[in-house]
Amino acid sequence: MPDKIFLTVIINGVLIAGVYALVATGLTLVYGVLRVVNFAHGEFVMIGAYLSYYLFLSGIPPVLSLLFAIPALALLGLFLQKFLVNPVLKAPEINQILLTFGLSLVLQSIALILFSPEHVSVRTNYSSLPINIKSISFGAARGVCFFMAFFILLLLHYLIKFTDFGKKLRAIQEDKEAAMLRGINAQNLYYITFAFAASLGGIAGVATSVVMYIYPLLGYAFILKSFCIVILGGLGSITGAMLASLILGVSESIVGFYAPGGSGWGEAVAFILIVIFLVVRPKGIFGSE
Amino acid sequence: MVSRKTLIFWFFSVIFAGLLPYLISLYNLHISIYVLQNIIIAVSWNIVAMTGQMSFGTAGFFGIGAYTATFMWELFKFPTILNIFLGGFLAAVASLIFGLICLRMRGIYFAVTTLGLTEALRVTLIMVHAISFRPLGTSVPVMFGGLKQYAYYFILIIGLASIITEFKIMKSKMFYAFTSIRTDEDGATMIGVNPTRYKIIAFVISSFFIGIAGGFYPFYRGYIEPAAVFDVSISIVGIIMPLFGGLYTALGPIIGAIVLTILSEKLRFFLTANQLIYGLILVIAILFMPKGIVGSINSLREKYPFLFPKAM
Amino acid sequence: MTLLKINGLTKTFGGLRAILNFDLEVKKGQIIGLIGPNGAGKTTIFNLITGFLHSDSGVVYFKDKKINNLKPYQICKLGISRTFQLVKPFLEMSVLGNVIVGSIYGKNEKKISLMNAEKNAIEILDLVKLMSKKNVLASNLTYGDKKRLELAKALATNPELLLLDEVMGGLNPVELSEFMKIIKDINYNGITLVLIEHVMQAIMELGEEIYVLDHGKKIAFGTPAEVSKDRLVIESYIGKVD
Repeated sequence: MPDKIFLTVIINGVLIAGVYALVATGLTLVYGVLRVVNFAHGEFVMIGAYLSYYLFLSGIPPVLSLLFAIPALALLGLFLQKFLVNPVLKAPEINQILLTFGLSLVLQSIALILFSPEHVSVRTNYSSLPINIKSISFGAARGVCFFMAFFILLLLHYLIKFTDFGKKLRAIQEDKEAAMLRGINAQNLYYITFAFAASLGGIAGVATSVVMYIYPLLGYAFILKSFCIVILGGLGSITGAMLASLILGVSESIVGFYAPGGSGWGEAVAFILIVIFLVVRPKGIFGSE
Repeated sequence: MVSRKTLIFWFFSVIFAGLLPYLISLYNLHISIYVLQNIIIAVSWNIVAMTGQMSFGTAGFFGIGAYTATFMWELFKFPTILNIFLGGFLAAVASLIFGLICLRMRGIYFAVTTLGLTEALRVTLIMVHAISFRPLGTSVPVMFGGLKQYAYYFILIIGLASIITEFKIMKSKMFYAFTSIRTDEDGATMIGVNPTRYKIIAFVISSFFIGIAGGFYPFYRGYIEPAAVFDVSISIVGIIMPLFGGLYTALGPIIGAIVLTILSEKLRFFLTANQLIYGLILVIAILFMPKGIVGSINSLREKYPFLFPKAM
Repeated sequence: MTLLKINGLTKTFGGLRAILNFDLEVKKGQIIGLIGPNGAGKTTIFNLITGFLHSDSGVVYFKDKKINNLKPYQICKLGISRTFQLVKPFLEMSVLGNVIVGSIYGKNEKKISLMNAEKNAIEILDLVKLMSKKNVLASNLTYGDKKRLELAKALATNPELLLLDEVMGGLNPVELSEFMKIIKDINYNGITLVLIEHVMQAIMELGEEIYVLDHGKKIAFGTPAEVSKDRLVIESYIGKVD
């Protein structure tokens, strides 16, 4: 009979993995389709989180603020894609990394100027509510978070596997030249994908606002973990990202509970996972390169 | 092989640098020390960049240098300069180990892993302090009893050493290996170059100097804490300065360090402005001037082949 | 003396058998031709010899030493160099710089000084007639010149065995006869050559023995005269004649 506490730790890890998966999926999509490394991806989450917070202060619950966050971030994504990402699509990877890194610094700075560096959060009536299932307990907020993420990812899975749009995306990911020869308009798909990834980040941000503290450098905390997940799961693989998110979420939870000092070790866990994995299997679980 | 004009330039530069403490105010001397520290970091990062690796781990080795030096003082009460060199030495060893594991990775994998290393180290040190109930900040005796002049000369010598190393590398056989690896790693390996070997050499040399700069920090400031020495902005600075001044060139990192350090000191409203400017520089530089200042000038002077390091 | 010997080389990609049971023998001083329709696996064989790919089974012997699991740079230092079909010069370096890399890191690495490497590089540039462009940035070269540079780079490593992959593809008749002369000179100076070629005129004139590859299998072997009359060879190029 597995230890109830251990199960609780695992379940909590799984729940947070949902949000991680949302963020990582956006990142890996952008890499898979555009072959661009977007260091500023975490900032989408931060923006979504603050949107949720300020809308909440105006009386709009997080679940509804999704309706604002999604288009807002999609628009931001389109804007960034056109002016910043397009020019470096064919540039060496170094340029892409530096450009998007610079972008993340700019966005973080703007956030620091606009919002106070204080940590805030969205406190709904279910925020502090614990749920008990057979004496395994977790926060209701985490549950809501997870289901939001799960639902969206399911939708995404359906989209990619079964729709025309998804087929085109996969075609470009596998072989851009061949796809273009078949008449697929790569440029349009780039815009759509990037905007899509931005919205995914925004959704994750809204979800996060309910569970975690929000602060201007939130994106930075997410980006490292997201890269870890994407590398673990294989650059470009969505399934890999989901699996790796689970691994990271659960590992963090276990370390957070059992290691002396608790959840402070978060980043270290991500890093150690990466190193172990990259040494053993350089292409990730489902790496496509 | 070195032209007379070049020798004269460097001769007078060194003289000028040597006389600096007598020419300027104490506050400006402090900035000059900061400039030299950044020159060391920028030049070192540039050396690794020459092999095509993008390191976000500068702060990690800086911090290792800083904590090693502090630790050596706490445990053994060695003289300050020895502590600092031990810091550099340990940073080099750490980079060797890390490099053997991770330098096979390219591009984004390597960048993220080095970033992760820095964060993991920062977090580890914070946790170590927490678990052993030590306060996060530690006081350290200031070198030379607080006489900034001598601290300046020390860091000046290290700075010159790093510059000389960079120039020597660029004039050596090894530079051809570095450049070929950066340009086309597979092509390089087919022509007899062992990529991992040279990446590691560059990485270790670079980390040694970064570690010394790191070791210098606590003994100059008088204190140390994880957030300060593992601060990701150290890594950022190491990237922006060579980029701004001219990536892969000899003078680029030096010019970038001097200009940007002085600029950021003069425009010091609060920390956020710094970060915003760094970000904007990165974005604008990549979009409009990917070769940096020196690089753009070099492009204009295309009659000289790329391979010979230009001192002027 | 046998320089290169390949026994039973096999390589599969996923489910696709790229090379099946390939045998080859090259004696010192020979010029060997390797021909076959597109996709037959010729470049794959070069990749397997030079360590760029790992074989599934089979052995490659160079001077009686098994070289299967060595890394490309180690194999280069042993004395095997190759050119790429899709030319890959170091674009950020000058022509001279490109060749110097080969001079330094080829077979001579331990002993050569930078000055001597440069001298060596200049000699080679003279041989392939690129001297006038030695300071030009590699990315600014014409296609034909890039091919010369590719050859120069490989020569600079001081190889005993040189593998040339379609080095004469896309050349005009003047360049073609120049290259053929250069190759004859190289061979005359003691370098053994294996040439992958589609330019039939070149291979028939230069090659002493020809191997024909189709769908990863050796389908014919012999002198140029023998091979050009072989029914299987003709069919593989033109399609079945009934």
